[in-house]
Amino acid sequence: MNQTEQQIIDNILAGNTNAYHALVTRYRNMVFTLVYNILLNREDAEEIAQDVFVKAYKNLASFKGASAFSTWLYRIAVNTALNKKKIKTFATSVIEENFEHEQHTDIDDLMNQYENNDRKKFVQIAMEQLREDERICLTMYYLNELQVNEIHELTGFSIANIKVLLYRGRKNLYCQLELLLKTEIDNLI
Amino acid sequence: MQEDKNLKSLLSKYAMQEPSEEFDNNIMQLIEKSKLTQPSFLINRLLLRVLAGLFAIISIALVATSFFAKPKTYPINFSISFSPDLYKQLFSFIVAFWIVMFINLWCNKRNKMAIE
Repeated sequence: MNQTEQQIIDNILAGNTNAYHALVTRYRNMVFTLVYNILLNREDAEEIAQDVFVKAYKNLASFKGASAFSTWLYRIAVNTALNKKKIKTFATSVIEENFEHEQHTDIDDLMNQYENNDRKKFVQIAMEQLREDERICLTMYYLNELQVNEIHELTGFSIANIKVLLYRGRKNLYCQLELLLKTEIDNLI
Repeated sequence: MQEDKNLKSLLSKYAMQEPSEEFDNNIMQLIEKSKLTQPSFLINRLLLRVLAGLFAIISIALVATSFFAKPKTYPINFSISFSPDLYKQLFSFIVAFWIVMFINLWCNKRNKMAIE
């Protein structure tokens, strides 16, 4: 039976610790990905992601449902990762809105020339090449499925900045990916 | 919008990271460990509440009767005189106690806010 999150939480608060495993399974990849994209280190990300789930368990009684459980969990993840980096907030800078028309070759065509594992490797390398603020915004928006206002609450970036960061992040990601894929094809030829 | 969907699909497929296989077990073990190290109350919580309730009721009853009772109606005149130094020490202790208590409350609140 697929229990709702609130049912699982009630179950855990009633003393059934094992029920927490369902929440861990549901959010393990998303929390790990978010923390990894902040720290860019697998070992640290794994340790911090575990810490996030333990903290969330210990403070579950204080979760009142004002926001979604996922948002609450991501907030713990961001704060714990920032603590690890020994900084309080993400570095912010005023970004000029400079929307140009997005022009890039069809990434799908280039991607289709590679195996699944290679595609994964290239996308992850391209993500790591991005600026920290762009990478975090893309992760939160596309992978953690957070809204712009939720990203604003978690990162402290202004809503206008987030929109620009998402735009630039998308553009830079495609550029990096295109560069990586073309270089690889050229090397093969 | 289509651009967004394409990128979402691309990132979900290829940018989602996975932790190690022991990840879930490690978390459950850490939770079990933390449960064992959690301090347990020396007396039952229910008993504590009953005692606190009784204390409050008796205190209110005593304060209420003190308004109506005249001094001479008490069967014994109970009074203890302390030296002024003792009052000074007691006052200093209360001031120090509340300063430490407020610092503690403030630190706890900060920790909680950091988690939330």
